[in-house]
Amino acid sequence: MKLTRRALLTRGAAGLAGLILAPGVLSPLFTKLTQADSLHEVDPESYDWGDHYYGFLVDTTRCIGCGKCMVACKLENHVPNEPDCNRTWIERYVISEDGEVFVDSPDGGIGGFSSFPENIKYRDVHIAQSFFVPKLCNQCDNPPCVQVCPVGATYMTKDGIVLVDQKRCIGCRYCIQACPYGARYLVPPHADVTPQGQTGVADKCTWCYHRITKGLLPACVEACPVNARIFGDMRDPDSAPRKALRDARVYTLKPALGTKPKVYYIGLNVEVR
Amino acid sequence: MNKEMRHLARAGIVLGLFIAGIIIARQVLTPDSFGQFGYYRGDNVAEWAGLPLTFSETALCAECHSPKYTQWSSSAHAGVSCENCHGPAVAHIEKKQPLTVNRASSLCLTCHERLLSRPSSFPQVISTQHNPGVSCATCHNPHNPVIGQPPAIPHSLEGRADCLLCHGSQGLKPAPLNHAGRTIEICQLCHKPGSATPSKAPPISSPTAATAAPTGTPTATNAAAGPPLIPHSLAGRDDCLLCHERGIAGAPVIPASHAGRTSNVCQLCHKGTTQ
Repeated sequence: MKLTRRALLTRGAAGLAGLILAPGVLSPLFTKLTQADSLHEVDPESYDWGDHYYGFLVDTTRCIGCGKCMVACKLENHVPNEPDCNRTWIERYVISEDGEVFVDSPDGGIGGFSSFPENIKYRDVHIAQSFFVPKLCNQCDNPPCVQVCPVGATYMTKDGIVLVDQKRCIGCRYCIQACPYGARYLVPPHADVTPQGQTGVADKCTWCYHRITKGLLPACVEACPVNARIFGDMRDPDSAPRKALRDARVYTLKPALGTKPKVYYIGLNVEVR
Repeated sequence: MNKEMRHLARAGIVLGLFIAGIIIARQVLTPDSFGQFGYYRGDNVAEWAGLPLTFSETALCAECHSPKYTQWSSSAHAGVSCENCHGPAVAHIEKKQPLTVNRASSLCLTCHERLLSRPSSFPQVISTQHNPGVSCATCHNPHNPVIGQPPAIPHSLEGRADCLLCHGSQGLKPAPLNHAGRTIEICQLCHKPGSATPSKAPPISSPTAATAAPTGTPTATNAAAGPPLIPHSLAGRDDCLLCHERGIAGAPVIPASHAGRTSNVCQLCHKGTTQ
């Protein structure tokens, strides 16, 4: 076919005009990717997430490994009762004089821990140090779990909490794999209770988002009898974690991974992974 | 359109339909609030924030349970929330569902059993050595566990058969006034030799042990501090064991630790509210 110069110019101009106008015509068909400023804008009655940014402190020098935090969490958040479905858990570290490290977490620690004489592993070992480390989701500022989600089911809110949209989650478990702290788990298909009525989806600690947005403390913080868990709004200079940080020296778990976790640990021993 | 371009037209129509199909499907299938705040469904934030509560907060308990709350909040257990032992309170507040009180020792031992991994400053007992078989609440009031707790004997008993020599009213370290009239046979019924981890057992001369004992009329607040008060008149009731040995007419059965005690020693520890 012979394309004349006139044909090229007229058809080319028409095509170009079409390309320029098309987004304006077609944009109502595309979803908007604009950022609204706050939840408050959407629903004025609700709390303004732009005003808060939460932080968590765990004092491992105080933890007694009683497991009350886990019981409270399971009740408050309807976490399945299976032993490997835990939003928070406790690890016991036993360090021998030779430098050998033993870690155990029976059912996460929900039933407490047995004393050493019954535990064969430590029977003949001279123990130099032993302590408990409670762990939970670190609500990282650079969360690997959010990065890998293929469907946009997990995200970070403006107040710093990473949540999972369980209606959107397809259960691919990529986020569970991606989390370096093991904070996520899959709600089992035949779970007796479920956090939001969905099974086969990823779930994790939300720092009791439904409680903190009402000004309450997370269930585990409320339950801890020895004040090993400290929660508050990092924007408020008088909040409990801000006050504790003035005198405490803290570390985070796996800082080299660049996840920027928001749970700070007081008394984190070098062997804690 | 000439013959040479007709095949392109057909392909172009198919491609156009395909793209249109994708655009329409995407519009239909993507939830409305997706993209509102970021690459996620915006409605989900409110879904998480709106979940129902199971646990309440401890400060609310004070509204109805003020005397116990006041006692508890100045005690060594002030860091232990009410719901920690009594269970979640929202159902109790909203639907008046009763909260069960677990009086078994296993509840106390969840925290206070001796474990090497626990901080050494935390009060712990070895349950097999510390009054085994006796419920913790017999001596320790959970809402004020130190007051009323009989201090352990921090010294050896060799050559010290007569407690009153030092702990009598004229002695070097007199026992609290509410111990008046008690003889040396019964001291060790409550005071055990160094059973808890020694650092945590307050010595008998400590301020909490000496000043805790009420000096005047027993009041309702210290009713649970140590041996329970007698809530009924004693008229016509000389023999305590008649009702309390077997729990007749709803009388509390005397605990196993009281085995061998006869009715004449009851009132050395148990005082009445109306005397």
